[in-house]
This record gives sequence, C-alpha cells and structure tokens, in this order.
Amino acid sequence: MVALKHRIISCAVCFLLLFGGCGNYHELNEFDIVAGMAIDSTEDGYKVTLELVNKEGSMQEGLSSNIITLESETVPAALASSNARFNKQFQFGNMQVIVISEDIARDEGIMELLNNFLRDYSIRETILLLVATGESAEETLCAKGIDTAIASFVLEEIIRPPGKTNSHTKEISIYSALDTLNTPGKTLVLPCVQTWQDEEKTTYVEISGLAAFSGDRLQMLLPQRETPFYLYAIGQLQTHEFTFTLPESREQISIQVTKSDTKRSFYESENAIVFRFDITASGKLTHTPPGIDITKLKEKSAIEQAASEALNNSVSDLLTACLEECGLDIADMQYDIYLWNRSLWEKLDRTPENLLNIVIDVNAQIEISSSGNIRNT
Amino acid sequence: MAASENKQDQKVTAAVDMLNGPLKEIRVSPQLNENIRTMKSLFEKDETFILREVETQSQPSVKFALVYCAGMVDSAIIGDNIIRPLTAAKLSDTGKNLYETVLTEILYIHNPTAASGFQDIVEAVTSGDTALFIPQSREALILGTQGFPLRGIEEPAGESILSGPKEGFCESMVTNLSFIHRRLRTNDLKMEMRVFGSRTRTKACICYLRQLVKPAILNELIRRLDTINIDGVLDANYLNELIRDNPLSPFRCTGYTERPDVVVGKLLEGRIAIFLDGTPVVLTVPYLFIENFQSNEDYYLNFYYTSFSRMLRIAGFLVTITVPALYLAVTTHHQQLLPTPLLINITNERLNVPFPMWLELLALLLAFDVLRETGIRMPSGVGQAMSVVGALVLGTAAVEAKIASSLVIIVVALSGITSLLIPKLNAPNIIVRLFLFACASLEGLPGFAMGCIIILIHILSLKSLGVWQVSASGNMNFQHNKDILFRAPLWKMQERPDSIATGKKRMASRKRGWWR
Repeated sequence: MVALKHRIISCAVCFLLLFGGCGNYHELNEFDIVAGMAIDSTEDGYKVTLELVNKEGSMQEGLSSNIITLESETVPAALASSNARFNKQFQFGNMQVIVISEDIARDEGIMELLNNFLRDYSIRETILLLVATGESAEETLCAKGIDTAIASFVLEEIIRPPGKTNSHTKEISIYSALDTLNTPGKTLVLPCVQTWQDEEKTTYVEISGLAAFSGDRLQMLLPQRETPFYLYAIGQLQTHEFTFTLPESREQISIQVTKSDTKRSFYESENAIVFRFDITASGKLTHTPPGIDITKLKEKSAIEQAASEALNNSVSDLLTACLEECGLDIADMQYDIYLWNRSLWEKLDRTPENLLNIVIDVNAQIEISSSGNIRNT
Repeated sequence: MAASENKQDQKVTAAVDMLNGPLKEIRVSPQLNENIRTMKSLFEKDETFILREVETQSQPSVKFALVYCAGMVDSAIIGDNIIRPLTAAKLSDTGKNLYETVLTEILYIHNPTAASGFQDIVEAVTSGDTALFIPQSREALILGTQGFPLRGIEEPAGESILSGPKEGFCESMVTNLSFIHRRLRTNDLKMEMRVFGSRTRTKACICYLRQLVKPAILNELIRRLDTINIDGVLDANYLNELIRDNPLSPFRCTGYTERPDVVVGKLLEGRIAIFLDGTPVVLTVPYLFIENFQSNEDYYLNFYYTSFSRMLRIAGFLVTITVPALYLAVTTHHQQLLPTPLLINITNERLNVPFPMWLELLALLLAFDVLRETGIRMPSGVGQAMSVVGALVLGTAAVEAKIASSLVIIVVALSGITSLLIPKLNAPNIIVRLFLFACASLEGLPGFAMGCIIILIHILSLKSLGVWQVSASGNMNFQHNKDILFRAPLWKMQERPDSIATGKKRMASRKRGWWR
C-alpha cells in the first residue's frame, strides 16, 4: 500500500509539473517577431519604437518590416500599452538590437533601461546595444539597409559580420554592458549608429563611431575613423586597412593588417603610472606609390618604421585625448590595475582629474608579411 | 491477499485440467473394437479423422485399426510402409505375441513408439502421426507419418541482409533444430524439450551450450517456463510475454530472430534459444539493450562500415523519438531558441494552417503510422504503391491545401524514416515518441527533459531473466565496450559478455597466429 501511495504521489507530482507549463504554450501565429527596439525620450516619458518583421515574406524572397511606436512613462508601461492597440503579442526573444537615443544616454543614463530589460525573461541578454547619434533613435529603425529592408538585421550584421572580420566597431550586448558598468575600472563604450540619405532621398543606417560613457551616462563621441585605434588599444582588432603617409615623400601607403596583438603592462614611475601598450601587427601591402621596391630590405624597413610610428601616434593621441579632454579611460587601464595590482588600486585616486597622472606609452611594431603582389607589374 | 491469489490460481489450474483430465484416465484396451469406439467418440464430428481397418491376407480374422488425420500425413508412407506390409503379412505361431511381430517383422517405419494412454494417442494423431491399434495389445503403436505441407526455406523478409547466410527458419521445429545442429557439431549443444498449451500441445525446445550457459540463468528460465499454464501457444511471443521481466515495458526483454546463424551466434555467447513448433521465430535470452542495434550482418562486413552503421542506428533511435517532441517544444514554448531566419520561415509556413501545432504534428505522426501499417499489411505490390501514394501525394496535397506546413512534413518524415533503421524498436519507438511528444507539448523543453529522464531510468531498470539490460557500472574496459557503440575487429573480441556466459575466453591468446 505504501508503494502504491508513493507511485500515486509521484504520478500526481509529474502531472502537476507537466501541466504547469501550459501557460508558456504559444502558437507561432499568435505573436509578432520584434526585430529591433529604439527608445527615445519624450516630455512625459519614453517613446518606444518597435520594428516588427512582416511574416508574409521569407529570408529568400526578401523581408519587410512594420514600424510601430508606443509611448508611456516607462518602457515597460509603453510596451504594455500595446495590448489596447494590437491583437498579437510581441516576441522579443529574437530581437537583434536595442537603439538608445543620444539624449537618454547623455541625460538620464542607461542603467535604468538595462534593468528593465533584465526583468523580462523573453529578452535575450545577448541583444546588441547601440546609441543613436542622429535626431532620434526612431529614425534609425525607420531607415533600411542597402541589401536588406530591415534596419535591425542590417545593424546586427554590420556589428557581427560573418568570418570575424570586424574592424569598424565593438560588439556590446546587454549582458556585457551591465558587466562593464558593474566592474571597477571599466568604461562602457557602445557603438553609435546614424542615418544617411542617398541622392534618391532613401534613408539608410550606418555605424558612425563609438560612444564612451562615464558611469552609465554618455560622455564623449568618437568618430568612426578612431574606432580601429581604440580596438588596437584593447586588443580586439581583427582586420584593418591602415593608411598612413611616408614622412619624406608625403605619399600614401595602405597595409591590410590581418593579425595584431596587444600586450598591456603598467608600472609606477615617480608620481605617475606609466601604462604601456606593446602592439605587434602584421599584414600585406595593398597600396604603394610607384617606384617602391618592397624586396629591398631598406625600403621595407622604412615603410614598416613609418607605419609603426603612424600607428603609435594614432593610438597614443586617441587615448591621451580621451584622458585629457573628458577624463575617460576608454582602454580600461584602471581595470588592469584593479586586476593585477590590488594594493596600487586601493591607494589610487580614481577621480577623473587624477587620470592625468597616467602616462600613455605606446610601442607599435608593424611588420609587412607580404608585398601583396600576385602578378608582376 | 496472497492466499486469495493462490485460490484463484488453483481454480484456473483446475479449469485447465478439466480440458484434458478425462483423457489421462482412458487406457488402451486389448479389445480392438473398444479402442475403435473410443477413438470415434473422441473425434466425433471431425471429418478429417480417418479410421482404417486392415486385415491380413493370411488370417482375415486378425484386424488392425489405423487412425490418422487427413492432410497431416504422408499417404505414401501409410500405404507402402504400413498397410501393404500388414495385409501381406503371413502370421504364424512363432511364439511371439502379435504386438512384437508387427513391431519387429512387419512395419517399415523408422522409430515407432508405444502409447498406452489415449492422451498420447490423440496428441500424436493430431500432430500427423498414425496410431496403430493391435488386437490383444494394451499399447498402440505411434508411427511417424507426418506429411503436412511446410513452407520452404527462405530468407526472412524482416531480417534481409546483403552478405552472409540467407537461410531462415521455417514452421517445423525439427527442421529448425537441424539448422542449429548443422552449424554446431558438438555434443555440448543441449536441447531440452517441453510442451506448452493444454489444448495446442505445442512442442518447444530449450537449446544451449552447456559449458557456456550460466546455470542460474538457465534454471531461472526453466522455472519460468514450467509455471506456464495456458490452453494454447501459437507463436514465440506467447512465451515471451509469459516469461519476460518488466511485463508492461514497451521494450523487448527477449531477443527474437528467424535466422539460424543469429541463433548460433547467440548460443556461442552463452545465451539460451527457445524454439517453438509452428513458428519460425526463435527467442533468445538473456537480451541486452544493445542487441536492439546489432545486426548479424555487423559481423559479416568490414568492421569500419558496420561500426558506422551501428552508430547510425543509435543516432536514428535518438532522432526518431526526440525530433517531433523537440520541434514542438521549441516552436511552441521556446521560440527564442530558434535562429531568426528559421523562425521567420517556420512562421511564414504556418500562417495559413488552421490547426494548432501539436494537433498538426500529432495527426501527421499518426498518419505516418497508418501508412506504415497499411504498407506492411497489404500485399507487397499494393503496399509499396500505398506508401508512395501516401508519402508523395498526401504530403504534397496536405501542404498545398494549407492543412500542414512543409516543415512538419519534414519532421514527421525524418522521424518515420529513422525509425525504420531499427526495426527491433518499432513498437517502443511509437510509444516513447508519443510520450515525449506529450511531455514537450505540456511543458516545453523542461517537460521534454523530464520525459527523457523517465525513459532513461526505465531503460536502466530493464532486466532479462534477471540480467540488467543496460550496464550502469561505467566500466570503460575495452572488452566490455567492444561491441556496443562500435564493432571491434574480430581478433580483438576475445571475451564473451561476462554477465551472460560462464566461459569468458572465446579466443586463444595469439589471435592471429600467423602474425610474426
């Protein structure tokens, strides 16, 4: 009898557990797939723009999207207000990007928004975060890509290109943004997005640079041309078409960097902390002025030296400018100190003014691994 | 509780004994006419029953009675070897009694036996033998005259192979046993006879190699077989269901085959085979779970190829039971797990389908099983046509009519086709697939995981004659794993499965003696 009782109880528990999940059952026809979300501020709160995938299309035949906007005091309230206007639920699980307007990022900070997203179980923590530098975040989702009509998909593909060839921006998801904000010594840097129009007045989206944060508030915008040097500094560059000028002839040379590595170290020197970046990179020549013979060791060394110096200056200028102009440590140098020298970290005065005590020492070495020539000229 | 069960058992036993009880009491009479009357009354209203009285030419007053069933006997044997010698016999007073004279001097029959009770006589006559009643004798002679038509030796349709012996068992147990004798020419091969079924009196044979079989397993099998009390046994599955462990499990606890080479292979591993008269199916015990994925061809072809095939079969088993449930769980509970392009394609496909996903999938799974059953039950030509019509026409029409989405058709087809990789698991596959489907439908992936755990626990608890079907010991010794996920080369398969056999070594230490 006892065994029978146990069996009945076990069966009952199993069935209760099984039926408990019926609430999660959703037919595919019951919801709209949200591809991206843009958040702008209004006088009364927030305007949330959602880009919904038009399910009539397919990946092969070409997709289109519908834009809807919702407004309320908070983002969750705005999303909840959709129930009165739409008969379908939103599927956030496949959302690709969240675009936050520059105003919100600069004036209100993004921590509160990130908290909202973490409370919704259906939103993935790997969704990309972007800052819109145009008039509004909404207009980025209303634009389209050159080969895909859905702006969110375009942005996701630009930031996460296949084959690890990214050299133009940094990939930051909700998860890593929160991690950065909560880790001592780290600075949040998000990709920026803007729109542009062609001659036929069609609006497209593009990546426009980086947004550096102080805490959770936007502090500084870096132009797109500075992004590769930032990636060199943090050791995340994958490929880069590096163009520089030869000092003597003033001629332009391009090297396609295909491999780079950055070793970071620091040491105390008198009243300053010297932070050293040893960058080694190699690649092939993709553009040289006529008359340069790369097979001659002397000419090759001269180009390599010029390239190294140019890279040295670019990285050094970027980091120093951020430190001096905005007190921003975008290369997370303080985090290295926190990680490797806790006693120094304890006595470090981490006010923005004191960051000026950090001396940047960049030592870049570029090696030309190939002339790039595949035919005799 | 136990006492009431015993009382019920006794009642059933008594009822079954009633069927044959009176026959046990009736003995052969020295009066021929009395025996004739008895036989006529026993076979009353059975028009296949033939009673032929024969008298000798030399002494017409001496009559014999022959009893047999039409269609069961070889009439040439009866005519040439029984009736003709009897009629031509010249009986004289030589001092011998008539019974001995007939037995030793007149009949041309190999191995006649004597029967004094009518139960044995009835059993012999209904088996195709002929009973000869001799005047003044208290015993009848049972003469082997079986001559009923039997199916020829063919390759079993359900176990066809590309390479290897093509012989298959037939419905005659004696013929089937001869297949084994021909392959195992050793006196270590033992064959113990049994009879099952109070009405059918079906003969069975327990076959094993004495030095290899584990006595405990053999004794347990005999104990279980001896407790069988049933009126009829028509197929080996009757015995299977009556002796198996885990009686309610959908998984098999005994092996079955129609191929002599498979039976010999199992005997050489220390297993026991049970032959039953009237069926080509032979049961083998103990049965390990991995045998579901093994085929006799695995040992006749290159071990690389057969190892790959075996892994395919195992993967097929996993695919066939999990794919419909996984598809349902992900598309109805966890859409965020799907890559966006796939989600869009699936959603697009389902836009005009009016049924919920679970109903659509369930209906198609059942439709596939209906088609499969139809294909099996119909004659081969019609069955094939039916399968093609079902698969192509109905599937395409269902998609075009927006009753089903094409992805669901692919899922069902994948699940159905992979199930054909492992015919031994056909029945469990259907049940396990539907069980996991129900779990996934109710709870999504957590339900699916729970269902998988339940199935895994069940498989781990399966036994066959007291031997665990799946070893949970985690023994990574090569000899324990040489014939599971892959099939090792024959020269590496030096030991028998130790959970089944007593003699462990099956190969000399120098496996390939010619190798220097």
